[in-house]
Amino acid sequence: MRTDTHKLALCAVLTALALTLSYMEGLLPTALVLPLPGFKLGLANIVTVFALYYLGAGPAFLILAARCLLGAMFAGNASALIFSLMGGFLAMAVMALLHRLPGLSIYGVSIAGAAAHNTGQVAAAVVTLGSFAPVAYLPVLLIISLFTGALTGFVAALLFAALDKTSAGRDRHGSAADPR
Amino acid sequence: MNTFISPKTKVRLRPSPWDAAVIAAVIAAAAALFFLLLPRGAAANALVCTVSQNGQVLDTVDIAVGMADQERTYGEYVVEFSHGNIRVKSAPCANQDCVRTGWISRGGQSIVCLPGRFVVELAAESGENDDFDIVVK
Repeated sequence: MRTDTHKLALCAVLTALALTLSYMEGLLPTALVLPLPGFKLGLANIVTVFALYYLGAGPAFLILAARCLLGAMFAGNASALIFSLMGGFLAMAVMALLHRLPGLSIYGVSIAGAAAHNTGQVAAAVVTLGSFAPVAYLPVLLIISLFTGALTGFVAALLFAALDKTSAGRDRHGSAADPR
Repeated sequence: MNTFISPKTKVRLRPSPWDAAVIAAVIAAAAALFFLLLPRGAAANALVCTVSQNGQVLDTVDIAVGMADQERTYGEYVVEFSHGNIRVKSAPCANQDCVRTGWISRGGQSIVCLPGRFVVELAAESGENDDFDIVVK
């Protein structure tokens, strides 16, 4: 990380990326597969995973908060806020703890994050509905999270592999020739 | 993905054996929940359907064999009962997920309409019928 300005700009870009991803996955017809609204693939978790490893827990937390608030504002849907907040923050908390374990790869951390994301969303549904009926969806959602988490981990791993090849990977040696 | 561990960020980019432990834990949690939520000892003819909105019970319907087919209206929701199957026939919400859920017929199943905070739940009958009628050894 070069300067605070650089870091700030990166946070802004990641927030924009997370917003775009969460908007785009809303266009996917996931409701046809699992007809419980409010549940999503969690593509925006790619950004959370990346930010957590690259910038640390603090900036990742801020990006997540900005994404949830702006997302709810753009959608004009305040009731969706509790879903993205509870899902996002539970996933964030679990991944922040697990990513420090040296044995786990980015895949294991992402899968745990996806499982936590779905658990948080079910908890939000329980709170919103005042009924425990949504818990019946949790076993299926947990199994689905194995796949969505692996997908998230795969994309994040690709990002880091690509980063190693660019100037960003040589940051510490003061290379500034590449505008990226 | 040529690197096992990213040289700059020190991120493990390839799955490690410990990831299997995470996967096993998630599967174990899913299986445990699944078996916990399985309806126990529920005969097909001893079900009760609970319709609720905003956390308040609007209606409870005993689902019995030979029950007349019917539609019940709760506000803008129409719930159809047919041969022990239940569905949300029409709903005011935009996404219509509850209608798309289709029919439910077993204890533990539910239909949820999140925008309208409307829930139709099927559960094994409890209460006065808790005692065993017959014990077979």
